[in-house]
Amino acid sequence: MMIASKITKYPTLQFRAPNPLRMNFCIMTISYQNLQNWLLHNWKRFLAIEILCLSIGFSYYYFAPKIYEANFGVRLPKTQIALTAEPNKTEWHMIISGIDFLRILQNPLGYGNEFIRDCMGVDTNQNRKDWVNALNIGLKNRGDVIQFSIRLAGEGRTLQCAQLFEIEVMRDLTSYYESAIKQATIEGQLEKKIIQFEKPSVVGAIRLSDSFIQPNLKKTLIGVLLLGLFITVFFSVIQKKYRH
Amino acid sequence: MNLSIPLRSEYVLTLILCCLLHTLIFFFPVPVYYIPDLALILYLLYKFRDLNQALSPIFFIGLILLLGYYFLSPEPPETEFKNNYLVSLKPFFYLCVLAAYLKNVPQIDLKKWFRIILWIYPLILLWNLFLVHLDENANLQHLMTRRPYFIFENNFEITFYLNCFATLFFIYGQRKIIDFILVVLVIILAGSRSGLLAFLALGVFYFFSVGWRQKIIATLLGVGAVFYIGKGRNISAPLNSIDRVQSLQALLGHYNNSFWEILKDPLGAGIYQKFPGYLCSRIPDFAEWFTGNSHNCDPLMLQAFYTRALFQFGIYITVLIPILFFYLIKKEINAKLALIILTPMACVATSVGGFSNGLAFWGVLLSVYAYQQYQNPNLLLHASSGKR
Repeated sequence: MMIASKITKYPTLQFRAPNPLRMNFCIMTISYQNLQNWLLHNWKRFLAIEILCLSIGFSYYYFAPKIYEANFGVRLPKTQIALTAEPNKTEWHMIISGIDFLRILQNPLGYGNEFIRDCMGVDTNQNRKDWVNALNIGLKNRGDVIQFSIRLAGEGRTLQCAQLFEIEVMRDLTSYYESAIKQATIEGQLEKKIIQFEKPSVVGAIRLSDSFIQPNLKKTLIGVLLLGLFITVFFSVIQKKYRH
Repeated sequence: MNLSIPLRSEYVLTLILCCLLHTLIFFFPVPVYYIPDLALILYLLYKFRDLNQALSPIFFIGLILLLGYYFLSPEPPETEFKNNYLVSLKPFFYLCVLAAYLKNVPQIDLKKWFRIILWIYPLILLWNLFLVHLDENANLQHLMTRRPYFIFENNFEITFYLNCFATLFFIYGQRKIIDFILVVLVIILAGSRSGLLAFLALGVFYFFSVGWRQKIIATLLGVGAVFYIGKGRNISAPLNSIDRVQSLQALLGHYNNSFWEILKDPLGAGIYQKFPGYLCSRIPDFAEWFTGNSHNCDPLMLQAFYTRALFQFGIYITVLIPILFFYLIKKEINAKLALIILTPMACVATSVGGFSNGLAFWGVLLSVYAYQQYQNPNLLLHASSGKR
């Protein structure tokens, strides 16, 4: 991929006559001959840059912090309500919707100082934002189960944070559950409309990833090989431009 | 009206070979999904020697999108199954191919092969129905509910077939009413709703390109096809009973049916993210049918390209993909022809892979090549005289 004069060895297709009023967006000519010439002139540099990039890639892979993942799910608290129109039928309502709870958890200021200290080491604003970015939250089943994925450096730290976070989440959800019961009792609906409440619960135990999930060897290798190619092309273009 | 049926030996020979191939596939099913892409890669390798053209900057846009979505899409939890993300990346790969190989015209007479395909494909569909009859002792009523095919699902084949018809009619100017009758026959035999949609869209261009007699015949045939498929595939049923509409509605529900919410997710969820589990359970059995596991909610199960792209790429990139395809083709041929050539692919993208389907892409690519062969017959002269 280099800018070079058109090769006449192979028959070219007829191009339209250039129209000066029309912008010409074609920025380079690509041909087998061009690519061959480019590779012949640059193969040493290409090889050297690729080896350099590969060594950087391997160094990154071995020395970068290893990110582990912990997964667990939580079932949201619900109420079973008798329908006013059809008393024989009932419906399950969530006390707090998964989306609303998820949004609350995305607030960096929504966590206690102690939790951030225990999990992230020091309670700084940056650590709070890092914690929120380490969270990957999704809704499962019929929207009544929240699936949490926590991605942090270090196997032990990830597991510890997941355990602490599970306690935080369960405490929050239990408080929603209890306040819903209190509210219903005050309003006198407990006997009339609401049939039963369902407590929040943890779905399965915390699962840690089999191995570290980042850095990813395949992506790192593909990335550095492509980077090497782009750098070589860039250097050859710069060299051509400034030599003339 | 020219109703002469070409019965040259190569037509008959091709038909026999295709029927044999189909019989083999019919009785011994083999995975065929990646054949068009494999053929494309082989073609790219074979024609790499002849690469010689101005490179459109759209090549770099396609490359950036390809690499960007591959490297920067958020990874799903390790406890989930992996997506078939290579399929999601295909539109960007096709854009790069189109930008780099648009002028790398094959040295075979595409006109002849488009005509052969136009003639033999309905016969292959009939052959498929005959095999069904032999295999299952099916009666006519049962056969009418079948979706005959050659190698792939007929939704994909019809896209390619419509491109063959469009090329012969709009590029080569072969305005035979018999060709249109064959297309209607294929649409009726195939019973594809997305195929019908693409046919009707193409029919609009056809209608304004022919004389009054052909207009009337085409309208009658078109109405007949709509009526037949409408009855056979129960089109009169409520719109939200159609599976593709259900999956679109489920996805729009994820965005609270709000356009602003869609805009808030400009680059989508990425190619690795699962379709949200709570939405997956709203369209029961889809994941199980598509991936073999009800917990593997690969966005591919949505089937329709636009729905999947909206979730994975976001609205801007979903809109950008057809525009880039159109712009690339328009640069080579005129805007009207570019629109016609892209119509089948853009229409079936409402229901199936569309811009990420290899066979549909082959249809577009060959149509552009056919235009260049038509404009510059020297390309074929070079081939026949062995100069290239």
